[in-house]
Amino acid sequence: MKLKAKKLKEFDIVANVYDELKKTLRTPILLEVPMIGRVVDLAYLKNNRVFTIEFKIKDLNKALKQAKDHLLGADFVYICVPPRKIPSEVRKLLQAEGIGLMFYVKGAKKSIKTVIRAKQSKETWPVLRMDVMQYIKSGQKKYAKN
Amino acid sequence: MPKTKLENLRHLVRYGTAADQKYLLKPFDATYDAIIINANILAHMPNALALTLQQLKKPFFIDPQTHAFQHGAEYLESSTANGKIKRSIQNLIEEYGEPIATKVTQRKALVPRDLASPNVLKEFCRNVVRFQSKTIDSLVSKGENAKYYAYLKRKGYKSDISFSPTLIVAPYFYLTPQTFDVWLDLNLKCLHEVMAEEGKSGVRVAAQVVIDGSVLSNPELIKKLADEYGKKPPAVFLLWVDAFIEQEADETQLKAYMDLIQQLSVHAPVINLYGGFFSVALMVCGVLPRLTGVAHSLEYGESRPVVPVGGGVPVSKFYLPSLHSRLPFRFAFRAIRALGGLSSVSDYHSKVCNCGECVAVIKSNPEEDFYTFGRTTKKEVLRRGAPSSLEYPTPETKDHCVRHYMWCKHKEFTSKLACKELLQSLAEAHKSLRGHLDLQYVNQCAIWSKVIRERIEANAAK
Repeated sequence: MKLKAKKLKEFDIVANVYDELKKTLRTPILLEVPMIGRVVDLAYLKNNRVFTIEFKIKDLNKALKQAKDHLLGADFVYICVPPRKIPSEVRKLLQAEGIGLMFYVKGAKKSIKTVIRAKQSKETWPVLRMDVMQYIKSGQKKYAKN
Repeated sequence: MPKTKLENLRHLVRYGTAADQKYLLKPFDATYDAIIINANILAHMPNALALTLQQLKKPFFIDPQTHAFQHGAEYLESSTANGKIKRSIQNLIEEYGEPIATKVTQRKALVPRDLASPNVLKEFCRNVVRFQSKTIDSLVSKGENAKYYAYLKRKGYKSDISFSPTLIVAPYFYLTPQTFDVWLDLNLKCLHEVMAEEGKSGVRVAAQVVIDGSVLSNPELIKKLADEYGKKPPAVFLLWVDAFIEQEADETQLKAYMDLIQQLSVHAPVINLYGGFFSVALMVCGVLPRLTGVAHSLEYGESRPVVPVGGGVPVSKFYLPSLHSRLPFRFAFRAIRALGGLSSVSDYHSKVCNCGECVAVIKSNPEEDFYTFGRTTKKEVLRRGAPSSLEYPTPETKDHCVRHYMWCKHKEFTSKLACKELLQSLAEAHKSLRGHLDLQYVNQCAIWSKVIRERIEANAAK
């Protein structure tokens, strides 16, 4: 009898990507960042810009809806899903919104692969962005102590 | 307290929790006409309420919440006290007596046959009425100001010394299509019993009509409801459609809602106990002339589910005046940006809102100042064993949002807009925001405008 491959859980993906980015980016990075009514799965700062990643195993449309809200508080917004065929209408929507797409490749040396590059958000609300930046920085300090 | 004319009770506010009090006192006391108090709140903090009502000197009445006992004891239990009955409900049970006390002790729901005996029904009605009519007045007469009121009474200032409710609500129970007949029969018996007892002394008796939303889709039940109450009508109907959110209702539901009000109002004026701007617009436009009042709670209470009875944590949202709806903050921000309200202070005040709170908050840079209505604190919690973050509005954020809401509601109720202009403003809001927000947040404007216009045309054709 063949053993079924363990299903990917969203939290495992998030945790793996977090560990990997933390090592490679060496920049403030945080899980679960609240942003006016949404909680961003992962957010980090790079060159004084806010990047967010929303992870989903299946529901790409839901991820897109959530990611659209991230555009208010971030500079660059990504969705990360396991590799799959992306319907052309979803691809168009992502491009129209400027939202990037990443694939999570389990077991690969570099587990995330950028499929569509995010564009600078045109919706960023500076006050909120500043708040998110501060939250990431303060969270980073707190966890560094631990 | 003088008996206020029913048509002067247009804008009613529900006193939900002790924290609501500061939004009912000055300067907001001038913005509404009357207060509705839930019986469980009165049972829980009668002295504090008596003091508040003495300060306010506003007409008030008490929702006896008798329906609370028909849903099963689990709805009456405290979520924090190991299955014990909530203290406020326990106090209420002591006031209402039998058969409620025994049923709750047995952890059973009240059923119509529990009140089948005329004597039991009479006693129950008497207790429910006594609680409404005497609680505040007796506390006032024993309180610090009693001497002063006695002095005023001697001087002939009769109008200011009685703290009796402006109307008495007969015991009532929730109607669903499935149990409609049995509970309606009991509701009518309770109403007639109270009318027979109280009517002698000239007290206004209200029938509270609480229905499941599915009753709206059954014209026969609506007709039956109106016909049965019409045989011996109360002074006023207090209408509550379970969890009916005007902003989410479709055309058919809104039309049925208007039909229900129309049919009830043949027999007596109607006050909508949980209504939003659609109901206010019906009043302003005079579409349903005997819809005389609309009530809401502070910020979050333009609709309410029948169960749970009381409770619920209010979430801070921003009331967008042009959509007449509370929006999650991120959507409110998008809407305001789309309306051009972030360019300058004067743009914000002319295109978004110039209520007292917005004038005080938006004073230098709208883009920064508007965050005052959405600032949150973050808390880490465990969800399904994994760490997560939750956002809560800060107390200041909630305060700003409620104040803004109260001023906005005042504006709506006192709007001098003609009906045509009002409908036009709804159409314009729909047009300017439909490309910027999910349709669910915008479409009510188009639907409201359409059904109101159609009803006006239908009325004119009659």
